[in-house]
Amino acid sequence: MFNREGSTARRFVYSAVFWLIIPITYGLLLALHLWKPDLIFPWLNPLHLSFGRLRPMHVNTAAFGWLSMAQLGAMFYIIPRLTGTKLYSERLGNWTVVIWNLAILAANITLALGMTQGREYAELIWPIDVGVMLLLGMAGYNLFMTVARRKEKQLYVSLWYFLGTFTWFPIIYFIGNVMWVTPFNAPTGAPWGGALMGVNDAIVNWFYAHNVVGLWFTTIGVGVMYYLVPKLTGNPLYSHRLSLIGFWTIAFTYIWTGTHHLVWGPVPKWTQMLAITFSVMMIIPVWTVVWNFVKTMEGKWVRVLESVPLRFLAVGAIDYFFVCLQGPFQSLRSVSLITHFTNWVPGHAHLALLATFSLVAFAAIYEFLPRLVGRPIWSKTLMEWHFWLLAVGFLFFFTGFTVGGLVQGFSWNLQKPFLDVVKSIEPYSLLRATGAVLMLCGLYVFGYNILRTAMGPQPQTSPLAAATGGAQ
Amino acid sequence: MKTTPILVFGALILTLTGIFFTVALPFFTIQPPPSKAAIEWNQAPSDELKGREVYVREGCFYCHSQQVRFNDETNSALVPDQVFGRPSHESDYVRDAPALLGTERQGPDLRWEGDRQPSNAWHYRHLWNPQLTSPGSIMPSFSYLFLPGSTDTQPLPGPEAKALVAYLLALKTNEPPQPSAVTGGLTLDAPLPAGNTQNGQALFASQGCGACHSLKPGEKIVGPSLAGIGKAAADRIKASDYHGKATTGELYVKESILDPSAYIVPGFPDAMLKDFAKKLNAQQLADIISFLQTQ
Repeated sequence: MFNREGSTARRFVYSAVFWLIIPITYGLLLALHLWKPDLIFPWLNPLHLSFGRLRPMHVNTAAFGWLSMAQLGAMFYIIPRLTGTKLYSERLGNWTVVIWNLAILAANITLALGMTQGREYAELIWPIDVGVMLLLGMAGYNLFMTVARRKEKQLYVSLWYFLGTFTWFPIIYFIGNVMWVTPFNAPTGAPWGGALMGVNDAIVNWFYAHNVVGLWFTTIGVGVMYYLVPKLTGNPLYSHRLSLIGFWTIAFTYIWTGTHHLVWGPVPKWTQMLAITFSVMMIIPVWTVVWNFVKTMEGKWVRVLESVPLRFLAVGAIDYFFVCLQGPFQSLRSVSLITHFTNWVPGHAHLALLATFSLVAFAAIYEFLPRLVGRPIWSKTLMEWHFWLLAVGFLFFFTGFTVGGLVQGFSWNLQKPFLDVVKSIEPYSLLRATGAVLMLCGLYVFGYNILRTAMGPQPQTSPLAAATGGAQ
Repeated sequence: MKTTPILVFGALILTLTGIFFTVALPFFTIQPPPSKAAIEWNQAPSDELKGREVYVREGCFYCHSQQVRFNDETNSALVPDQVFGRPSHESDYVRDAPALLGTERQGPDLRWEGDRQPSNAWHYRHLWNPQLTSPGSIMPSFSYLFLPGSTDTQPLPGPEAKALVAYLLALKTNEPPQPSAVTGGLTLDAPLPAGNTQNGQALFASQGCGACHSLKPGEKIVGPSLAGIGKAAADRIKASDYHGKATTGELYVKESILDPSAYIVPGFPDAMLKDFAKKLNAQQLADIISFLQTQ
């Protein structure tokens, strides 16, 4: 059963949906905690689970469980279609799914036990990092070998993005997690390895944390978008030249920007200015990509009314535009002075990973899963509920983060007493928690819909028999 | 077809260029001599090191930053960061792994916490139940680091709570005290309006005064009991070791709130927060003093 065509993509999708339900539940607990801590911690305390342990569980499971696996599912669906050949090895692909699931399970257990490298986004301890490197190698090998055996000679831009990602990301992961510092040669205070001494540790940490968004989620996500936009609209891609400009500019500019997380901080000014300069340059790749999508959509916008996948994709593309305008903006020194350390910043992170790339992943799952299992998504009504609960919930949620963050930032700049500021943002924390509840309902609805789709009757013939061979 | 090798090679070169300038170059050039804070930290006893591991394990760094931002144009701390002490510099972190600079301030910056709040007892009470010392705080209780039998008046720290507090107290500059970066606020000679005793009682609760000062005679929490302070104050200024500026009991109380270090009652730590001159307005100060006079 590990050899069946499309089984890798299908199992990645199912695993991703499972790992979506877990971290959003953690996320709701965190949102409630920040609103009224008394509601939550009496329950968590007996488990020795503090806010500080739950937060990395939420982030790592959402990012590396849900989003990474959803995107890999989409990628493994797309690769055979753009290369005109079968995946190099479904068996290898299926083992990648199995080990990936084990890694996320191990991550949840170790983080709950307080085993962490103590670096945001790079918490996973060294043994799990080794597993992740292995997984990147397995997935990358499958990708490169399929591309090498391709029948379709022209490499469509989505494949450029996938190949680029698997060239960049293993290097970024290795350096970002300081993997040459193991538990066996770790400095005092970092028993799980993966840390440098001094401010260089923060520089490398933010180099990693920023590039995991930029050269993993963004580049796979944009690759998936390049496949989906023409597919769902029925229009050919507006400009291949523009797509290549976008690719090479993101390859050049993104890697430089990590230190903008340390603006005004205890690192040399030249490192900050370099990061800010390249952050502003990020506007070029983003606008070329979004413009390409907008022109490709021309004449088909009305379809978002009836097609839920296209609606998810279109909103995802619009959010991509906004989040990548917000990013360069908040890297500026004058803006960072106010927004840094406030709720504005995690609001930005959710706009990128939830409201942009998760929406693209929903579009991809709704579009690809029926073709992988040979039956339609169980309920169109639930798809609508999924969209609207998520959309309305996110508006509340994002407003709570962003406006609450501005209140914090400007109050601190007026040197208001700290506790007064904590109390003054309570309404925004309530708004955020309300949004979180709505989104949670929407995502549970999504999970249930996918579960029912998965449990539907088996089709008589292999669903992919007709689909493979025919490149997009 | 040569597309794939060109693509991979090109992508690799661009990435490695970026890595060279943003990771390798800082790695080989940022090698500052350690500051006094870092030198002291290098000799930290084992409980302070252990405490740092607890700090990492419990994820304290997600809500508490450890960097006081530096404004290179005015050569001082950035305005929003001035309450947290002197700007921190790369030389302060040379012994730190991981660096724990932090990215959020759900709670205050802790880079110089040992200078800002040097009392063991205050930290134990705060970790046990943050509402005791900081009403309205959103910090979780870390009661699971305490021994069974702990109560709000007497939390019994376990070994990990002791280590954590030892670490927090070690977060200090080890430099002679600078004049407070917090400017403005009330001074000892500022005239006060008439105080309202009832409002003063409410402020005593909401400012968390009771976390450290009991109103029962002789009960010591962190600071001295304030029972009978109206009368005791008049005696204190006559004490031979009194070196403050107050000339009456009422002025003594005012001085103790605005400038707590001016005189420390023998046997007590210099643990009181130093920011009330900034936090309170004249009416609130008058109300609290008026309340304390009745005790």
